[in-house]
Amino acid sequence: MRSSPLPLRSIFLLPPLLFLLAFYFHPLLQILLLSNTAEFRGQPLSPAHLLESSVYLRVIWFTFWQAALSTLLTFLLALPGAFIYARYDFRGKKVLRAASTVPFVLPTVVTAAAFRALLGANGLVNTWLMELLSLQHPPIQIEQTVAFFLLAHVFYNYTLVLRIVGEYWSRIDARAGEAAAMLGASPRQIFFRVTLPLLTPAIASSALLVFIFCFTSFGIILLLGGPGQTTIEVEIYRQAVHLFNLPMAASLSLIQILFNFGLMWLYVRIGRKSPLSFFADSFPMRTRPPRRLGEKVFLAANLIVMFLLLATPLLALITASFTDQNGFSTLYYLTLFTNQSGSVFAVPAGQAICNSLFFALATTVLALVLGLSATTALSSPRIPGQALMETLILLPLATSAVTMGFGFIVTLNRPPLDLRDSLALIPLAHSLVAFPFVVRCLLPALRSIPHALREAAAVLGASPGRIWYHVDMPLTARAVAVGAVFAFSVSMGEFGATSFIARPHTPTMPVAIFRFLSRPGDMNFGQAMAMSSILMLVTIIGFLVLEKLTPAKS
Amino acid sequence: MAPLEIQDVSLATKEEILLAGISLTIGEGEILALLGPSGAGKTTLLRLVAGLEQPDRGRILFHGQDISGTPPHQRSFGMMFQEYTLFPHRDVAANIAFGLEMQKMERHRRDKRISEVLELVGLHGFDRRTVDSLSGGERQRVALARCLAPRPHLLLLDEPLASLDLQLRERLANEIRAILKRMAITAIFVTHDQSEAFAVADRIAILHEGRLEQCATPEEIYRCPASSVVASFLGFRNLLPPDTDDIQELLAVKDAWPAHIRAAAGNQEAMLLIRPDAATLTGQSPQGPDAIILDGVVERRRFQGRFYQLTIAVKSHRLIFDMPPEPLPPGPGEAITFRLDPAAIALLSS
Repeated sequence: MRSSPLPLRSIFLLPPLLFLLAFYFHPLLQILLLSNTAEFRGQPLSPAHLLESSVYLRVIWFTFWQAALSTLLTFLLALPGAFIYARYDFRGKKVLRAASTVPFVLPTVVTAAAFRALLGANGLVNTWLMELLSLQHPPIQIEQTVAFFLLAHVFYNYTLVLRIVGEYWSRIDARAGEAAAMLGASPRQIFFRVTLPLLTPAIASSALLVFIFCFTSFGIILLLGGPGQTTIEVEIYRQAVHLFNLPMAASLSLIQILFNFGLMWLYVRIGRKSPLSFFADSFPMRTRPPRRLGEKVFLAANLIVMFLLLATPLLALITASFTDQNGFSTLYYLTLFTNQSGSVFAVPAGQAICNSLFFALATTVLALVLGLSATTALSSPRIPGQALMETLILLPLATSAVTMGFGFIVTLNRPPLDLRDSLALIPLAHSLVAFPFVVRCLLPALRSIPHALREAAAVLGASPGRIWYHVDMPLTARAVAVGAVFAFSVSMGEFGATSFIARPHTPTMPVAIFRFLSRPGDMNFGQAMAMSSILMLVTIIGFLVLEKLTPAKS
Repeated sequence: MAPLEIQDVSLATKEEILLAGISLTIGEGEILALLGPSGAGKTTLLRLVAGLEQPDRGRILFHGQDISGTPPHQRSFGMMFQEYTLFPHRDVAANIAFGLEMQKMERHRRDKRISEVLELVGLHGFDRRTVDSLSGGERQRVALARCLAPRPHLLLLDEPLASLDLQLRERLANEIRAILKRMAITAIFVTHDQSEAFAVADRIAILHEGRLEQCATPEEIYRCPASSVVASFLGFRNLLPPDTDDIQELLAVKDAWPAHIRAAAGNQEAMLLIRPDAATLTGQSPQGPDAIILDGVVERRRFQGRFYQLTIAVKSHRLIFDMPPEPLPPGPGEAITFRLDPAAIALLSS
């Protein structure tokens, strides 16, 4: 057998490698260099010194503290939910199952807008209470408090825990529990001696995931938190955009990157022990309807919590978008498309919808090209260093959006890559996140194709190119489509990186929502609601397409 | 008083009847096999006895006491499952210790008991092994040891060997019987494999579509299947309706047919069973006056190792027999004259 030193397919690794080098590692290196020039009150300040400064120690402490508290609160609410999800059959469970993915995929700015619509100073609950009790001031003053964004974090991560722990739970409990019962264990003993120990990997891994999400949470805290509540992400943004202290922002970015990598490394290590993923649900459940009164009450209480936590903010968002002082109105939607004097934009805000669609399409194309290129190489056997390449490609997923956005503005502003005013900047940044997603969708599909199929095609006379076209592509069409929808959705909702690089005259929808929400006045608030509702609709449609594309598992 | 009495137990879902009026009694120290095809209700019946399910109707008595209201963990029954119910977060010894911990047994007595049962199932020294490091056969031995350790009053085994390969299954079936007999334990053993049931059980209860078809010793079941359902489940293929003309002709010609079978001629309900081991070549055995001799043509002869399987056309019927390889039976197309053993012919209710 002849074996060539490097198969032809390995040249397909080149485009994704160059892309990562230019738009990921290069900015990272710049951040590293820049952080060495940081000064604080005229004193040089390396990241190590930063840790000694009490201000920044407080920022780091607050970041950890809020993430831990968010995780704890999420689990307090979601564990009982996971139990009923795993154990009981009830009406509407299928709807709940489908709908429970919605909060998780909503763009952060939409979530922030929805919570403002529900509980903000001019939100629905306050408006109703003021009318009902004839009050002069809103009775619920939760805006700019820690409680407000903690609530939004719980909203975000509740369904994640529900799905991961719930699915895991439904897979282990039945027979192990029965075996324990037959050995004389009471239901209580079964829970503490068997179920809980078996659930530990799922709980640990989902808790770490929730912690990571909350640790790098940016849009939610920026929009719902108060001035004193600064996490590392928000502080990077403040230093870079408001104070223009780039070296300081770089130092903080470096710290954030180190924490992110550390947390991700931990997550991957834990994940090896419990091979679970958020979308994997291929195991049958043994469920039954609740029988005793206690069970029914418990189920009902959980469903009420789910409704209040997950549904009411989104309903409030839609309601607020259609309500002005005089009741039902489409005013906020209509004004999105007219050029208003005194508006926060130079162009009609509706333009942001077109911008977002354009950027999302460009991102999808770029991410698909890079993804197909990378997976074509990675799925063929006998290419060395595949594991390393895979890790490199997935690295951007372990990097916070804010540090990537910051990396872009300090790197791509001078030759050879002066992209300051280029429309390409946003699709490039979005592709950095979308392209690893595409790889994650495609690689398993490509690897599941038996290599014998390609050999059979070759023996029948197909050239490598035609094998790819006639064998690989048709068998992975569905995965390609899933990856495309993912890339599109990621781009539509991305806020962290975009907030650094969006030009004033070409805002994306999340950036527009952020600007509306940062300004006072009913009109700005209403338009934020309208724009958020549209973005939510687009996201949900994207997700419905995904559900259709993912084969139903029986 | 029998340790376990199942009295007229029924269970149904909205879609189908799972168990229809099952009554069974199990004697002290007896091993009863529940045998039947999948979906027959064997496992459901076992889970009712365990208390993991509740019957719609009927009672289950343990030493004369109705145990319907007793939850599974207070019944002191042991149960061995088909596969994968060892606790993955505990090692071998800790798995076996579980039931003993539930009994609050002191540590040193517990450790002693663990080595006793490990010795019993032939896994001496496996204490600290993790569950994943065990082979399928070792896992099931540990599962058995875990059930036996708390000295259950009744042992329930739900297809414990189904996930193992054939050789191992045969060996473990024999070992399980030996261990249960040594401990004089009363047990119910669910299986869909008749040879496994024959190897393990004192008595066999055959279930079909939620009904009890027959409950008897293996010998009785083999010799006299109670119904055509039982006969076809045991793999018997020579089942003839005795009311057809040519069977009547067969019966009439041969005075040698047993009287009760001749009497059944014309009975619409009955079925005639001729077991595969009923036929011998006429040259082989002395022919008495009461011998049943039949003539036919061999359609197919298949070598099966210990015997030849012959398909023989007798008038319009096709009968299948196992015949010894020596002397060589006639081949396809050749005429054959053979003798039927009257003891290998049974009359079944349909």
